[in-house]
Amino acid sequence: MSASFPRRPRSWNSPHDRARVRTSERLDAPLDADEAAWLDAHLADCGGCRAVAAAYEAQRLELRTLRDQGPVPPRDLWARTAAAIEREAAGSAAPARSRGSRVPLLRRVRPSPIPLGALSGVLVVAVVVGASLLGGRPSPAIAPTASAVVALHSQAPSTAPRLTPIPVTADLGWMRVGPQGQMSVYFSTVDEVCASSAARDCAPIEEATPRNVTLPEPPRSVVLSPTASQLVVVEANTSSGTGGTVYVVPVPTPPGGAASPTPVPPPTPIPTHTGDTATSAPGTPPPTPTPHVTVGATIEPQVPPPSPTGSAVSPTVPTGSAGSPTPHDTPTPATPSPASPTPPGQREIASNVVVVGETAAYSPDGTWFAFSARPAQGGEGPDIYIWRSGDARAEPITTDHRSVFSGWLDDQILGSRAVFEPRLDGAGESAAGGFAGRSFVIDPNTRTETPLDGVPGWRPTVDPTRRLAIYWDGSLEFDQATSEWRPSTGRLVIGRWPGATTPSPSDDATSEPGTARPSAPASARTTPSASSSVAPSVLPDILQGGAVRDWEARWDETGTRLAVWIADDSDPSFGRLSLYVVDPATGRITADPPLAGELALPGYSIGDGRLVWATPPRQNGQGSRVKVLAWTGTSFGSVETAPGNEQAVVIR
Amino acid sequence: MVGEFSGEFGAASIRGGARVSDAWDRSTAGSFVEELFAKHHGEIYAYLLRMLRDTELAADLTQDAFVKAYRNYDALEKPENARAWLYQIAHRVALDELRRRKIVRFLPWTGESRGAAPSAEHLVMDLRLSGDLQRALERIPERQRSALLLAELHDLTGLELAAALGVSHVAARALLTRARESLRQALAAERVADAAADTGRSTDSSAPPAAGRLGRDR
Repeated sequence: MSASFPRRPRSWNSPHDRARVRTSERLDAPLDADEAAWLDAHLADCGGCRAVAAAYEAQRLELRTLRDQGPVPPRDLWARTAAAIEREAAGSAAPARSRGSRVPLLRRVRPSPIPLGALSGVLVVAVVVGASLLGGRPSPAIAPTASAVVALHSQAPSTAPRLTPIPVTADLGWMRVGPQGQMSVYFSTVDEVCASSAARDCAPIEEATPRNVTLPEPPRSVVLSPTASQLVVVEANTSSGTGGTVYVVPVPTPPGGAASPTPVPPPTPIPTHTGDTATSAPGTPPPTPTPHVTVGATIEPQVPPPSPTGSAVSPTVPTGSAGSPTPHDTPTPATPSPASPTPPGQREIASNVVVVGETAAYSPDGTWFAFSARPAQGGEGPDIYIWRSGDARAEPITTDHRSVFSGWLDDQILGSRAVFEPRLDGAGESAAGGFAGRSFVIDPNTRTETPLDGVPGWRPTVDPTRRLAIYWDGSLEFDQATSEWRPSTGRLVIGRWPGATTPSPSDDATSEPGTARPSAPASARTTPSASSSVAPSVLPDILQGGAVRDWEARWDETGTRLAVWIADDSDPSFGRLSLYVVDPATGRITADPPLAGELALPGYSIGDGRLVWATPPRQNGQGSRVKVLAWTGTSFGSVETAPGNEQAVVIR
Repeated sequence: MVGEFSGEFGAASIRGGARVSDAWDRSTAGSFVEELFAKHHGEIYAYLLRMLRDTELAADLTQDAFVKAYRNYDALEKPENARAWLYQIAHRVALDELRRRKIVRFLPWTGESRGAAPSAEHLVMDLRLSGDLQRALERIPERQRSALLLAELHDLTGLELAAALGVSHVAARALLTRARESLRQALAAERVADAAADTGRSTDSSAPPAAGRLGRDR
């Protein structure tokens, strides 16, 4: 042993303690004569200490026998390291990458923050700027005016407590469910949050005057359109046994707001590009929200839908399906009955379905809305549905009952399909095979499906820079009770996204064995220049091993903040939410996540420097709190609403 | 040893002495790290594998360690200390990874799904450790495990060990002593559990005596 150390006199708790320490030290270097003599004398009389000395020697010998039997590093380790060093050198010389240009969901219009206490006074202005303020982009007809800005700056200063405030700009919206189905819609803006140490004492978010919507059933999730003109509301209907309904509801204005005489949003023309534009055609008056919205409860009779024109395959459903399913079995596409009580301004775009998961989302340009759903009856699995803004009904674009919507890749739908693999890698499934996820993209306009060979896992959620993805790496099983595909054995990981990457020399030098480049459509190959800066060999990172009943992962617009909600094993109606910071250089999660395992309902919102979620109602009758974690640079802080009496659903 | 390293992984600031390079010279740094890699990558990889028990992760973190050596090249004062400096970097990388695992609720992968993570049995074979010793090493605190591995397996001197661990000589010695004692207790617990399982006296093999972390070092 060569680890010799200088010694200094010390006091001992007991002679045995001294003997143990000196025994250890003598393994590293000879003791001085006096101490060696003392130790020898003590060991001669102390059987216990001799046993300790023998044990030290034995374990040392066992360890030292391995000195010359070191494991062999991978042969390509230098190639990988050299490539990483080259990227490091290039990265240090290159200018900092600018943030993505994607407009956040709820970007504010006003140029500077205002105190929380002034928000109530701002509401009159908020009515005027309404949708544009919420949507992050000015509507052509109601762009913010100079007077609005002046009014914002003229508000009285806040009187709220100001404990360690961190200035942020965070817009958020949520619904609270009343006992009679009355929905109160709240929108608010948070300008300051409190550091974690003071969050408990932070003044709560002021809940502005609610805007009312009446729904027949409480919503399970609510999605705001990119134009902020409408909400897609997914019912949590299980009481009627006929499945839930998906509604499109105009964003209500607050009481006293200007009501439109024609509250129905006009059919939205398809934008000709995917840029940051509203869905309304130039010169078309924007949809004007109504002050109060009522949604009918009648489930409309179903009409066979137009057949999808895509190439979705229809393999045999592994279990629970009687006969070969067809799109016509699915209940969704139907023309609303003229007798429908659904009031003008609202659309029932799907009914008699059970929406699967929380991945439902608008396309970036707001033209399409995609979600996963299964029939309320029949035990069939899910398919992907899309609805074009302005159309009467959503349509399924897969028919195999094994497909789910994972997210949008620019203007393409990214989906996952459960497919049977005769032989899965790994020990557990090798004999009988099993189901695993395969990804694909679908062009919503042509319904053309393109497989993404080599894209790993089930339900990948790709970051905005197309470098990383969260996905389930493992097998799947069909849950008879819920008629849904769910993870079986495996792990939830963050890994390199091989789809839609443009080949580069550095990529080739560092590509992982067995990771094939997918055949992605041209429109999906929008890799940013920074993609080659990710060190792929360090991935995947395991986010959650073992059983995962369900999860919900979302990135912020920069691709550096990742929120992951993981359902509770026993009760998936709530789960744990974490926010991770992802190192853009390595693609790895950094230590000390700003949020780790907070109790949360599904359906959170992330983007524009904030994460918003709702806590589950408590058993004491206390309702949900809406919580905000916001950040500016590396500073994180939080604030929350006071608990109401009802459950809250975050608008995302 | 305090004061010889600086920068991201140093325990203290630079205190005199000639620097390897006064200016950030990428070419020099690249050549230097390449030379370091040729000499030491095997032992760094072995150390990380022994700490983390994951071959692919060990390779990844070995890569990380050398990239960080390149990045912090100008923090190395004396070339003769390069080996210990590398171990210091690897040690920090390993601890960061272990800490991060805890944060993201890492659970050992059981191998049922697709992927490349090796089984525990394969790792034991790779590491050529007895099952008892491997499990016992897993149960002692990371810093103690690191000290033991560096001293016994990687043959670091006392000075090098203190530098790699980023502590004083005295602290390194104390850590090593605690590590030996923790390992002894953990081994004893493992063997008692094995004996109990063999004789059928225990019906709950998942709860060996003295289960859990030993010692106070993290």
